[in-house]
Amino acid sequence: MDRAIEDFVLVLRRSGVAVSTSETLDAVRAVENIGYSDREVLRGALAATLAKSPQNRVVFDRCFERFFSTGLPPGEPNHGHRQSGEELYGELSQLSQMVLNGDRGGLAIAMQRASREVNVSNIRFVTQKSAYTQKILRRMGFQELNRDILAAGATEESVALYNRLSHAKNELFRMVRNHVEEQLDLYALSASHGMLEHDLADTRLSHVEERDFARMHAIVRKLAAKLNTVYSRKCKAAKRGRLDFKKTLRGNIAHQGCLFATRWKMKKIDRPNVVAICDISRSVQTVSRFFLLFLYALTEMLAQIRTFVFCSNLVEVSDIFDKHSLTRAISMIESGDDLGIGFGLTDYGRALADFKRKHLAAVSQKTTVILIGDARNNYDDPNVESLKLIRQKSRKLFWLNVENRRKWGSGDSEMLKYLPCCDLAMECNTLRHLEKFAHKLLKVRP
Amino acid sequence: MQNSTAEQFVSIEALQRGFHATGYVCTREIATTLYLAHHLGKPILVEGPAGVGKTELAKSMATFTGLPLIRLQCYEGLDESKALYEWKYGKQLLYTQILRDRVKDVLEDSDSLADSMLKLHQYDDIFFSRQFLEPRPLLKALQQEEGAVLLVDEVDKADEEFEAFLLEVLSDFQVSIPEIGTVSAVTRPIVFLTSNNAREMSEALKRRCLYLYIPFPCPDFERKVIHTRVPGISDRLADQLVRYIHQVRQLDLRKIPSVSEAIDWARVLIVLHADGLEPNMVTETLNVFLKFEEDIQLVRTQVGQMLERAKRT
Repeated sequence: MDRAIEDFVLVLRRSGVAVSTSETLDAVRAVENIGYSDREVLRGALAATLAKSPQNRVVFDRCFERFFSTGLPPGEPNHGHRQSGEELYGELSQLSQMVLNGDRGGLAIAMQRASREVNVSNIRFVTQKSAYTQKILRRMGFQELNRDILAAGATEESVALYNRLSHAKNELFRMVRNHVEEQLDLYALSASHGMLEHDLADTRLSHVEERDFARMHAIVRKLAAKLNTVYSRKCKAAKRGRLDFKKTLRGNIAHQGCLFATRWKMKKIDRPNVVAICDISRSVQTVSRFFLLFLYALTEMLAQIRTFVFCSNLVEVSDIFDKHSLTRAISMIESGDDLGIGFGLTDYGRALADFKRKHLAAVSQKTTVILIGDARNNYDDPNVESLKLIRQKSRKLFWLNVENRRKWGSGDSEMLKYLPCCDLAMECNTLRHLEKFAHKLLKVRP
Repeated sequence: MQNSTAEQFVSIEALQRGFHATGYVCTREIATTLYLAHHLGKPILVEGPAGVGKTELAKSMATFTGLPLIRLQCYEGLDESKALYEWKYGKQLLYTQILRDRVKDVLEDSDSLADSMLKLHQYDDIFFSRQFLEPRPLLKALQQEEGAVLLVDEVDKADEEFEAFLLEVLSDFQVSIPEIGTVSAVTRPIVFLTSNNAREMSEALKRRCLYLYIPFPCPDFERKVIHTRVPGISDRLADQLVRYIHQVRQLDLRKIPSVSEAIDWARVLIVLHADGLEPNMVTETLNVFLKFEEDIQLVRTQVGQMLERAKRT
C-alpha cells in the first residue's frame, strides 16, 4: 500500500479527523487514478475521499499544506563541475556524488525514503530530534560520505574536493535537520492537539481561558449536533395511528380482498421542543458563558427551541440567538443592553414567576425544559410552586447545577427544595458533564 | 448522440470542458471529484449553502452523459414504498379474482384435498413477482439498461431510518425486496446526494460516498458562471453585479443571496436593458435576490456606498 497516503491518513487521524479503513482504501484507489503530478488535483481527490465535512476540510487543508510540501530549498543545480581531484571522483560513494552534483531531487527522494525507513512518523518530542536526524543521515550513507571526505583530505591535490565535500556535508545535515523539525511539527503537534481537546473536556468551565473559547465552541457544537441527530429521531410512541390503507389492502388479499383486518400507521414524528432557562448572574457568569454557547449551538440546530435568561428578572433571548453571530449575541446578553434585564441580586423566585406569567404557553406536554443555574437565591422566596407547575405542564424538566452535589442546599442554595420537581438534576461544570447530560437526556426519553 | 462515457471521462480537463458545454462551470476540484466518482464507481455527497448549484450539478451530469435523470426528492416521512418499490395492489386484487374463477377448472379432476394442494403448488407463485412491482426512483435507477443519473435531493430532510436504508443501494447498487430477492443494478447509476446540512449525515453514509463541498464561488468564478448562464450580459454589468453581490454576502443577513439569485438578478437587469448598476434600479430590484423584508431594509440604506465600491476597479 502507498506509504505516503498511509502516513497522511495517520496525520489526519491525529488531528482529529476520523478516517476509516475503507476511506483510506478509496484514497489509495483515487490516487492510483489521478497520480501525484498535479498538486491541486491530488488535494481535490484526497479531500473528496477523506475529509467529509466542512470542519474536517479545514483541518485537512492545514495538514495537506504541511504534509505535501516539497521540502526542497530553492537553488540552482550545478551539474557536473569536476575540478581538481577528478581521478577520485569515480570512486566516491553515491551520496557524495549527489551532494557534489547538487542533485536536490535525488537527495530529497533519498531523504524521504530514509525517513520512512526509520519511521520518523513516530516522533513525539523535541528531544528526539537529533536522534532521528542521525538515523536518517546514516540511512542515506553519511558514513561513506565521511570516509570520502577523509580520503580527499589526505592528499594535497584533492584539497578543493575536500572543501566542497565538507561544505556539502554541512548543507546536507541542515537539510535533514529541517526535515526532521518539519516532521516533528506535523506529527507531534497534531498529537498534542488531540490531547488538548481531551483536556479541555475535563477542565472546569470557569477555568477555560479566552483563547480556548473558539475551540470550545467547536467541541460544544459537535456535542449539540450529536444531541440533535439522536434526539430528532422518530420514535414509535403511538400505539395506534391512522389507518394504513395500503397495508390493509395487502394484508387482506388472503381474504379475497374483503377488508376486515385493519392495519394502522404506527409511526409518530417526535420533534424536539426545548425551553432553556439560564441564570446569567455575576456568580455564575464565567460558566454561564459556556452554557450560552451550548444554547447558541442548540439554537442553530433545533427548529423549536426558546431560550430565556434571568438574573433579577427573566427575559427571552431566542431572537438574539437567531439574528446575531455567536460572539455578538453573547456579549449582548452579558451586557444586558436593550434587554430590560436587571443585574441585581439573583432572584429565582421572580424569574420563575415571570416565566409562569408570560411564557407558560411555550411549555406543552411535548416540551423539555432545561434549567441552568446554581439555585443560590439570596435567601428569598424560592417559589417552588411555580417550578412545580412548569414541571406539570412539561414532559421533562432537567436542572443543570454548576455546583458540586455536596454543596447543594448549603447556605442560600435552594437546590434541595427544587430537586423534587426535577426529572433529572445533575452537576454540570465541565464539558464532560455536559456530554453526560446529553446522553442522559436521550436515555430518560419515554 | 453523445460519445461513449469512457471517452468523456478520460481526463479531468475533458470533463471540465464537457460540463462547460452544458452550461455548468465547474472548478477543478468539482471536476476531480466527478472524475473519481466515475472511476471508483462511488456516489457523491454534495454539501454547501443553498443555491450554489448542487442540484444543477446532477442535472448537468445527465445532460453531459446523455443519461436519464432520475430524481428522488427527500422529505420527512419518506419511506421505501415511495422511494424504492410498491406493489400494484389493484392488479393483485384482480389477479386473485381471476385465480378464484380458474381454481375450479384446475382442481376439477382431483379428488382428495392433498391432491388439490399438490396441483396448486405446481403453479408458479406470481402473486409477488416483478409483474406486480411498481418501481419507484431508486429501483428505476437500478433497472436502467444504459445507466442513469440518480439524484437523491436534500437527503438531510429524510429521516435517519431512510438513510440506513440508502446504504445498501449506495454501497452495492442493489436492493433487497423480501418477496423476490435481491435486485442488482444492470449498469451502475451515477449517484448524487445533496444536503443542506439541516442535520449531520451519519458516518456510515459518508463513508460510502465521495464528499464534495461547494462553497460560494470567488468573484472571478462567479463572473464566469454569470457569463455562461446569462449570455447577453455585458462585461461591465457582470463585473459590477458580482462585486455588489459579494459585498452583500459580507453583511449579517437572514438569508445570504446565492449564485442562483445572482443569476436571476442578472436576468432581470438584462430585461431592464441595464448596462451598469444604477442606484435607482438596484433599490427597485433588491427583492430579486433578498427574500426577507429586514434584509432589504438593511441593504437599502447602504446601496450608495456599496455601488461606489462595486464600481471602483
